[in-house]
Amino acid sequence: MRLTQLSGVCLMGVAVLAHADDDWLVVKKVAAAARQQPLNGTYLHQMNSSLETFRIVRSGSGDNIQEKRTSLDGPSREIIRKGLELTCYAPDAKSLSAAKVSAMRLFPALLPDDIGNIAQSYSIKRSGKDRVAQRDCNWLELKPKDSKRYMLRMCVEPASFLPLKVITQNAAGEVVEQFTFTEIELQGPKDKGAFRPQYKQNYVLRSASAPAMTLDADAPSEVSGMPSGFKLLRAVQRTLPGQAERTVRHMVFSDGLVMLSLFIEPQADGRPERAVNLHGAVNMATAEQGDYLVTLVGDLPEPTMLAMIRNLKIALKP
Amino acid sequence: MKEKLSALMDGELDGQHAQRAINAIADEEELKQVWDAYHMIGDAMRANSHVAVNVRQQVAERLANEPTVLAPRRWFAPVRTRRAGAVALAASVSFAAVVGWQQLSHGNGASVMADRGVPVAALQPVQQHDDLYLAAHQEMTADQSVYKVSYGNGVRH
Repeated sequence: MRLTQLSGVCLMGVAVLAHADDDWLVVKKVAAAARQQPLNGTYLHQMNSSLETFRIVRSGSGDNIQEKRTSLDGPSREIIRKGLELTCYAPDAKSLSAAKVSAMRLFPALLPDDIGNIAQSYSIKRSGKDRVAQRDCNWLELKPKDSKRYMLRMCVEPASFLPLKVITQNAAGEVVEQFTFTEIELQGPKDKGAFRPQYKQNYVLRSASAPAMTLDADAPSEVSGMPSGFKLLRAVQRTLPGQAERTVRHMVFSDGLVMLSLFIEPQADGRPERAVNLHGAVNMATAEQGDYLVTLVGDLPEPTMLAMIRNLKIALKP
Repeated sequence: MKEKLSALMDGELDGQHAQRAINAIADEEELKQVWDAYHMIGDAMRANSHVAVNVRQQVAERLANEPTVLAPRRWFAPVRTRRAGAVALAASVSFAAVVGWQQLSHGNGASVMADRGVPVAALQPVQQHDDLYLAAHQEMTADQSVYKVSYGNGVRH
């Protein structure tokens, strides 16, 4: 009798585990669909009490994906992806700098390509059905295991695995940023001219050739004090865009859901530590450590960023 | 006599009879009360919401008991205090309006957000210096599938 009970419990445990595994597989599919699914639609982006609307068209596959998003309100902006290249277009300089900021968030592609060790820092839960842009979808919740990170909720279209609505919430349950399609077709535009830019002024965010960055292989810095779950993805010695004379060390970390950049540069001019909100859920914190200026940029709450930058221990190898 | 009152109410009495009945009502208090009661019954039966409630007696008594206030009119009006009062009233009304508006806007964030449209400032909140880090972060992190392809497997972890 006991044996049956025990095996019953075991079976249930296995079933629950398998269920969670299935859910992580769904997250992987969502990440892929969010980048590749051909589509033609309109979405809203809400953050910091402002609301914007974009039109997005996408077609092609693999390395030949073409994508264009156009702002429907505010300054005129276009962000066009052509294979590897990502370029902003706008009618004037002011709109162009707004376009660069808008390119921070390329909805629906918000999840990292490689979710890696995401299960270490987040738990996953299905939380019911809903309807977005006249399509049925299923809610999937990525809840952080500590209070240092944001929670991500997304409503996923079951056939294509495309996220139709994505909400970022802080620990208090407040919405920090959200995206939602208002209408969408799951096929690319028929008009080939749909991907052509309308404006002349442009800024190349990423060129088709590999960006001029050297891999900082020989002298990786030792960094400790990161919240658990964050893994170093790459470390490079680079210059900041448009500042050829300034060399910084740039390290990229990820906990499987968000990306975090750490910049280290030799500089000490007594600037106070601070944390600012850059765009939606993206925050920045900066502080001095000895002779170095340390800057963090990523999708983590401002208090977390400040706490992190205080706890970081950096040992630069000579 | 009561039949006559009833007939009068229904308009069945002609000139002379009607006049006689009316005179009788005017003369006799008891008949007058009956007349009133008939009207009340008629109102109630027609489901008239203004059922004639007889409060005349009470109102008359109250009026008789109320003291008559004989106050002389003021020769000078206390202008200043009145104005101050008006200003205070206006201030409190506008304060209430502001508070109310704030409460409303909190409760109804979505529509307020939509009303505000897109503040350009919100799109460019970053200082020039911060912008550089943002751009660098973006270059390395946004849309990494592209990034990965361009670097292949040469990335060291």
